[in-house]
Amino acid sequence: MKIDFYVENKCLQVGSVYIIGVSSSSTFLIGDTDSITASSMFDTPPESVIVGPLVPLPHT
Amino acid sequence: MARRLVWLTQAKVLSVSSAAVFQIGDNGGIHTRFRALALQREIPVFLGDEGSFEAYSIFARPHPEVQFPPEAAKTTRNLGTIRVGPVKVLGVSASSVMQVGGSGPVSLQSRIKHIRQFRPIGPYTNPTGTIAYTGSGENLEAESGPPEPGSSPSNPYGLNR
Repeated sequence: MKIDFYVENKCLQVGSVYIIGVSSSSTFLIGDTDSITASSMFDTPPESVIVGPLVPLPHT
Repeated sequence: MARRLVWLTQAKVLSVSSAAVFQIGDNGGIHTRFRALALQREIPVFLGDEGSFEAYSIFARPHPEVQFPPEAAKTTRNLGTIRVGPVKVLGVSASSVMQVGGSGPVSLQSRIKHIRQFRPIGPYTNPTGTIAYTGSGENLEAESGPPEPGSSPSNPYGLNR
């Protein structure tokens, strides 16, 4: 299957922008781009709660 | 590819940190990588060189590969201009990008491992009076007493290596 993807970017006007945070592989772009590939991993499983004596994290 | 002209009245950015980019103008592409161990302790004692990324699989597994379908042909025509009023952004962080202008391919990667460490439930565990339970419901050994009186001020809870 052949896909023809045609994009026409015209005039754009925006009043004002207020953003608290842009974080963890995000992007805030005022302009044009061909491609954005954003990937983020966040791991906080139940096992990540350690209840016990406060020992340092393992070194290797 | 001809990019659109951007008119921006004002930009206020308070913080850019942790492999983040704030760019005014065009570029040929951006690639950022970020990894972090986010560690919370009930008692905030941290040794400077603790832990390693290699100990956790999240830092080793590959990011998924995403690509534009090869059978698709993309044509872009950029006409006109972009006009934006005042912009205020409090923070840009962790492999993120804020840009005013045209950009090439953008590739952003971040990995964060979040760990929380608590002391066992006991009479000295929590001065606020709230009680925490573990999901597994296992019986946790109660602490027999407060931190040992002989422990040094720089290492008050007896962390040793």
